[in-house]
Amino acid sequence: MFKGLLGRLRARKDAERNSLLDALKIRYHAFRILLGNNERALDILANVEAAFHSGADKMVLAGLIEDLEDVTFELVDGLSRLRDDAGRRLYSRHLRIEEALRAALDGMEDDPPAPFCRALESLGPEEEGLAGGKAAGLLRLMKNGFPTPPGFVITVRACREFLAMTGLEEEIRQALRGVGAQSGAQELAQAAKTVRERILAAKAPAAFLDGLEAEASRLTGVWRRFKEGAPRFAVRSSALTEDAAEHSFAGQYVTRLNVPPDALPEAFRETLAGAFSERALAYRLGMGLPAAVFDMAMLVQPMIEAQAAGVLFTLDPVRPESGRMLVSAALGLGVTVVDGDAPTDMFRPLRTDLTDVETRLADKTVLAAPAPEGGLVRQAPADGQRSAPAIEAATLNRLARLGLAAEALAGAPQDMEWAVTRDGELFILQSRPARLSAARKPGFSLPRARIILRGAAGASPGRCLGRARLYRDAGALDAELDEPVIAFLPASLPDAAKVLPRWQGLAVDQGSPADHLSTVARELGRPMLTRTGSGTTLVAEGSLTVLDAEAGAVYAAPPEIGGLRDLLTPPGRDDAPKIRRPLTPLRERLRDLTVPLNLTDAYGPAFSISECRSLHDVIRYSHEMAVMAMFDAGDETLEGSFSLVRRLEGEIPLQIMVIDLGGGLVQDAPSPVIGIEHVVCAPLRALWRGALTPGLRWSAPPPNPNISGLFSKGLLDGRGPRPLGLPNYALAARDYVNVNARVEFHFAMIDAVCGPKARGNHVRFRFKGGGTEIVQRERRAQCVALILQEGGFFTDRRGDLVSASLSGATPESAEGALALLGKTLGFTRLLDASMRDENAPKRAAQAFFDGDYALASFKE
Amino acid sequence: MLDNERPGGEGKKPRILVLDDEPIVVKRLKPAFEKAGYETETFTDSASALARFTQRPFDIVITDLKMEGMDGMAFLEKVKELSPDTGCVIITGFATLDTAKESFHKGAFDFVAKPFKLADILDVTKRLEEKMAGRHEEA
Amino acid sequence: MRKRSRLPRDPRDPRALSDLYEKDAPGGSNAPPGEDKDAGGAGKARALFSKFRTILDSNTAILTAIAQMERMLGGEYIFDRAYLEKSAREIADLTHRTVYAINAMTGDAHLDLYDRYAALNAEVEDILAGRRDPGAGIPVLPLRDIRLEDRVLVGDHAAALAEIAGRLELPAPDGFAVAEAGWAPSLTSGFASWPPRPLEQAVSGAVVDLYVRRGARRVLIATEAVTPEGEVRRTETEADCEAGQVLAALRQGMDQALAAFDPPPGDLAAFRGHSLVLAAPPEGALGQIRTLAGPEAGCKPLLAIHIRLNGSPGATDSYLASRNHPYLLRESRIAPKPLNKPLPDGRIPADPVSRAWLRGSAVLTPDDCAWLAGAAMAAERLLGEPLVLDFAHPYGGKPLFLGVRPLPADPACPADSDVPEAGEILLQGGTAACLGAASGMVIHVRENDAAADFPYGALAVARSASPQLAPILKRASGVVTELGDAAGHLAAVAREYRVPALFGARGALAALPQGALATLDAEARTVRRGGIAPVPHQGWELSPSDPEFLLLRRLLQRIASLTLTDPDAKDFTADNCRSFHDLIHFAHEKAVESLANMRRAGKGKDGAKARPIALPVPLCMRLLDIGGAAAAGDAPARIEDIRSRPLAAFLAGVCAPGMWDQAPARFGMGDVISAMDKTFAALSANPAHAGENLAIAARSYCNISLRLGYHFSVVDAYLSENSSKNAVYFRFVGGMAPIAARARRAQFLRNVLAGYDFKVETQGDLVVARLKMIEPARGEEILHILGRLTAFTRQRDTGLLSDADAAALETLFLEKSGLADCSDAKGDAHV
Repeated sequence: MFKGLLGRLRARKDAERNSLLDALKIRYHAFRILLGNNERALDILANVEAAFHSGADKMVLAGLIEDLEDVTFELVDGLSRLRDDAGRRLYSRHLRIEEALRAALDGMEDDPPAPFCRALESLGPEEEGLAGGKAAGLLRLMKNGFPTPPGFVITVRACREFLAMTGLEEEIRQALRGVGAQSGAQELAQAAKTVRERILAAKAPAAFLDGLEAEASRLTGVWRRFKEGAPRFAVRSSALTEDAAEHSFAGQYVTRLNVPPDALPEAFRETLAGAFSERALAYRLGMGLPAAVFDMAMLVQPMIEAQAAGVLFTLDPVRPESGRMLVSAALGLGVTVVDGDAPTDMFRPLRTDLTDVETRLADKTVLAAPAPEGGLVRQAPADGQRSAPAIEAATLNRLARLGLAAEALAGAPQDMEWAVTRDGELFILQSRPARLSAARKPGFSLPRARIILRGAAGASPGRCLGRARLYRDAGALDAELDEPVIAFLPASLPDAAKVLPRWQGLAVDQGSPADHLSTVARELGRPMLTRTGSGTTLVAEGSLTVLDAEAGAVYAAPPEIGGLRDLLTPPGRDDAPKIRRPLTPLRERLRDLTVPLNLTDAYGPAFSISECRSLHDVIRYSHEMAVMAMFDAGDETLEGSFSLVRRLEGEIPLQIMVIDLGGGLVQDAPSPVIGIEHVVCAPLRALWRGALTPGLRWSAPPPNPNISGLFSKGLLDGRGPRPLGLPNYALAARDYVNVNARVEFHFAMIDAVCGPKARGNHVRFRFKGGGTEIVQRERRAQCVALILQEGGFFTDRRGDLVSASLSGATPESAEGALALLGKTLGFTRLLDASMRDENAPKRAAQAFFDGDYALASFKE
Repeated sequence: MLDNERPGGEGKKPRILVLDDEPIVVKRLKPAFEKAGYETETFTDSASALARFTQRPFDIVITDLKMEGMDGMAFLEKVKELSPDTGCVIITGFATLDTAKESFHKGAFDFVAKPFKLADILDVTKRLEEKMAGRHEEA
Repeated sequence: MRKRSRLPRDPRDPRALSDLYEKDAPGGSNAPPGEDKDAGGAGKARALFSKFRTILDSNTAILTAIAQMERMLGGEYIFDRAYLEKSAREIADLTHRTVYAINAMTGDAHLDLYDRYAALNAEVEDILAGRRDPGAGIPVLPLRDIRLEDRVLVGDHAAALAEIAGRLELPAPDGFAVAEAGWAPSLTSGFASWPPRPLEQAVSGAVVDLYVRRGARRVLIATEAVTPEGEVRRTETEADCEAGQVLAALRQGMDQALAAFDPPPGDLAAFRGHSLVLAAPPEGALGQIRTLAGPEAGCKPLLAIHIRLNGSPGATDSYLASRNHPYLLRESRIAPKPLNKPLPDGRIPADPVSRAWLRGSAVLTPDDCAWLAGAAMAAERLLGEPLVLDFAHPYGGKPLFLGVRPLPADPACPADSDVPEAGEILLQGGTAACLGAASGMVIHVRENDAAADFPYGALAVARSASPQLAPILKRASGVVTELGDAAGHLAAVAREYRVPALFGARGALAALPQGALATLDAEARTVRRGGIAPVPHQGWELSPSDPEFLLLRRLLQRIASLTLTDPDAKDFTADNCRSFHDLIHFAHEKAVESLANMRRAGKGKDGAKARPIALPVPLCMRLLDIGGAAAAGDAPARIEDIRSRPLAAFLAGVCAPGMWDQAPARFGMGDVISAMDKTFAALSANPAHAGENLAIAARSYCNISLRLGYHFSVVDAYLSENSSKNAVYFRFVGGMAPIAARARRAQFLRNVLAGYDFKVETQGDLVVARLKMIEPARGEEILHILGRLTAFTRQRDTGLLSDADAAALETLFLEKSGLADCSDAKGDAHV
């Protein structure tokens, strides 16, 4: 009977233990599923974002948003299984976002037709097809901070619609029918004339005129921020095939200069008609292009009243082998250079030494200037100007540097138009690939940029130029930027999103095109690479680089470009233009409720449910809180679970109490003591391997301690009851570990997934505390951060708390990171006691890198 | 280049180079292409494939994308540089729209996702062969 | 009417957004109680639904992925390791989600599934990583548990023999293998102690089993030692069937095998070893088959059989036969037999009765030869290369295969011996379900034909690719059907046995008459006249010797095999899940069950705001909208407000004219008495909700629980455009009348439902009906019928006094539904 009672007691104990293990398992699986849903959610989010970009129709959008709601709901529900309170509150927030989404979707009608005119800066990189070659080239310069005038585009679609709405389209086809390359000059001239006359006589539809007027007045507003008075406009054709390397329609289309606002419609018609000029038609037919296919857009910009203007070839097109640039400069407007009807100064700076310039000055007898009534006048320059250089040496130098920068950005030599105002302000008016002399000298090869890295995955399209900056620590994110910067990060850190608007572009060692940061980069139109592998080690801090997201590569830009600070304008801090097509108000609203990430600072006070304003925020919040919840799991559930655990022992005086969540240990693992050979859990094995690094001071105190804390004394003289502190726990599954280590008054926590799929992997680490005074503890924290940064972690230190993270790592690098953590744990034991001066963290970190784990270098 | 060495020479079945780092793929493709009458050489690493190609260009190249060392995309670029007329087909298990786009951009003729049916790859090579023959007649 | 109150007046106003959120901004933890409570209840219902959908979606995705992996066995696809890894991990992920979902649905009632998942996933990852096989720790494996993919554990010979015996059921002695893990401790320790305890125990158990169960008295022992480079030395011995002797013989065999290396190895740690122990066959003749004869056949593609009487090495008979059905003998050389040894039929040549006339007898009859040749060719098909097979032919018994190994290519014969062209095309078209070529005599088969009657190596031609033909594929050299495709069950079987298969070839039966000799080329999708005896070539085909093939097989074993089939069986438990397929199947069944029980447990209503549905019939129902089930509004939803596709169809059926019997039920005294205790139980269990009906619904889903009178029914349906996701579940139980009458009603329901392709199970008065993978329009029709049935059967049990009443009721129902004409046949059957 007594036996029976004992049996019942034992059975109850067993049941308690089992239910404890069950609770742990439930948590663990909920967490892993949540991680998977997080990935799925980000994938769908990327699709939603793309749907907004591409103007997907309502049904597609609604379907995607519904999918996103479903998966975010699962995230919220999953969080509530890990943290009931947070989950519940997040759920009601989620519900409200959903209600708002539903309301917006219900009200959404089919979109109105796309606008005829688009602000140049509103065009995304994938919309070059709307803007034509000239505008696209300029747009790239503009986005990279080159001095370019603002402008707007009358899109290809608008031009086509204009022709369709006025019934001209069919007439043009009629007129051009039968005109081919074999046609005689007269036939061609007749056809061209007919078409032009019809275009010039057409009456523009009211909607078109309204759009034109609205954009013109917006542009005037922008312009007035810089210049006095009402601007005159330049209207340039920007054909799709124009300015591409294979079909340079240089000068084949019409440009109208000095156009007063009220004459814009007429200038539009003239420019449009210009596409059908005899010379343009002949050129098209000569190039084997069909005559009637229409693919022209127009670029409208305020006139730059030039003191001097001209053309810059970044490689002399006639003698490319000379390694020189070619700058031609005329007084007044650059039209004289382009038309070749006025004498111009020629400068040929050497590409590798811009101060070495071959100069040939001309006697400049004529210049073009804007006429007060519109149009241009030719006039003689003032006497002193005729023989003096048209531009100063400083301007020439600046121009040459801009040329090199533009060439590096485009990846090929450029043919650029420029102008200088009376105040000496330099503008780039356009840039296109240069057509070099066909008969190149044998042995000549185009200058090619050095490849720094390639094979990366483009996460956000485009090319950009900037100075490379490496970011390994959260603190570095706050640094001021006064020049265009390309950021290189070890991991795709969501917190970087808040700084992203100030970067020209970015490249991430790990990460994936579907993660938070990539989404934000696309949203802002910043070129971005992920999976560069080791971008942060390949690129030199401070070097000039070009990032090409389409080619998945980073190139070195020539150092002759010099400082960017005075050359290019870095992206604004606050007024970062959101690069996207204009959306209807309801689409805008749908987008605001889904895509933007407002929760960017995981450690800041604004990281809260009440700041969740989009589904993206909900995703980020759930994910972050879930990881935090796993950190907490240790304290909540591990107490009193001794009988569940097996003690992992080895050659070092470190013990880890392991709880198998399923697949973490071999099936027939002994109890209660196991060796590392019984551990299957890959991250735990890696951690252990690091802890076994020979030379780590697991049992000896560090040298030269400065003992100011009461607690550490007892520990250091070996009289402490448990020299290695409280037990360390590890929850282990096959590819997962959660470690809760409490070593001598500091705690360290690790949460890591380390499986075959890089994207699902993460390593998180927190470290805090110590037995000494706060200054020394902070110094140790600094040291830990330094070590982990070097190991590819992104770190954040607040006081003596260090948080470090690594995500999307390949299994090999995740295991490497865990080994580093194991090593770090051993190395930093009681290290705070040795942190006697400000330099100690750096010295200790250096000792660590040198393999001096016993800190021999600290012994004076 | 001598005329008889030109890819797609008269009356001769084209020569195919197959590059895939998984032996099972080349092991099975080689006899299949040979049965279809192509002269076939196979490689499991890009370096030796490139060395062979430099030695004597092939008419058709069938390459995997993800490989150690030089990847398929880089191999494709090299091939196109050495012999612009060579037709290239990409076979990969990691097909995304972006990689497909990129490979077309770089001059690939087609893009076949793994796993694929034997009949499919033979069909692609046949189409490629026809296209090359057409180009030849034009020239 | 659209609900717009929450929409800020001007969406462009940036403040509009913040309006939306200010409500819970300060002290967010204390959210407004009313709203949150509602949210919580609906949230729970939605969580439930969301999990259920996860299960349905994962189920579909997994089955699709499995089907694709299985097709890889058929040889028509080129695939690589990366594909296998990707697919296996994708399936594992989906399975994990499914396991999580079923636990989330049921308050973590199936936690064991997590452990099963983790264990299976570990096995799959081990296989992918090329690490030790999950079975690698086991020292001794019974032959019947071994398959080809275990060759790394037990050696090629044992694996191949077990494969042909297990998969094709070719006769072989019983036995066991001492696996690598059995030898490893001794080899690593340099035989520090012999025998090691685990090996001793395992061998003793296996030997006793052979002795007792098989009556074996002697055993044959083959032992192999393998160098790290893969070089093999093999020894063969015999021993009495007794543990001590067998262990001694094993040790001796290994010593000899090791000694056979020159020089003999010093350090044994890197060596591997395995042994095969077989019950010795009874006394008789011993023979060998080579499926490709070589120079002795003039390098023609023929098959050679050699056989000699035990103990008479000189007297060997040789036969050459064609390699395709019916395996005609081309040549035989008969040696003179010793006078005193019995022939396989038991007679002795020097028998005074026969006066030694039998001295020149052939050991094998032509029939024996054909059988042996057919079996050997089936083995060749399965293993994908020419083979050498050793066999015993006991006196007066059937042959037993003792060993099988690849036939080394004979250098004297050119690799590509010329194969004669087959004749004209008899049949073209269809889908190749398994690639390869086969040739033999055409035999027409039907579903119920006994496999044992089917001659080895014939070409099976059938009307449809019915799963019932599976046993025949163990014998057929090829299979052609008029119906079916590469995705069906029989296609999977053909790939498993590596039998070339052409399915869906129209007119096959007519084009291929019984008894004609024909050649199938599955790749070319043709059948030609005549036989060409194709030789397996190491070509583009996926061969069983390719590591990827074995990897695929091992993966499929953990992923695709389905062992838990019957949800009502006792062994339908989490612990018995042997594959991911089992896991998801189990989870799916439990999920449906849990939803069906939800109404009973009173879940889904705590705090949830259920909106009444206004119906034109006296039925009180509330709607819990978990996403797009009805047009917005607080007023009772009308039928036209319902947006949930399955719910709308069901309600339309409920309200169909003529279904709602307004007349009071016919009660007998028995009915009332029977109802007395039920009334108490039903009311006290959940008094607040008795008589209230609830529909939980979303756009494509509904779960309706109804209490009509004293019976209780559940309809659970998912209906979307994607028919592979669609499913209808119907459950009906209870009633007021005595059990016999209720059983009659169950019978009535069963009849009606079976007519709509439902899988119906009844037990007493419980009816459970399931239907999956239906076209959406068909699904609507079916839900409409369920609605009608629900209305129609309300209280019908009380009127069912006899079986005739049940039949009459069925007729009445079908009449009222305008479906009377299609019921005739069924009606007859049940009256």
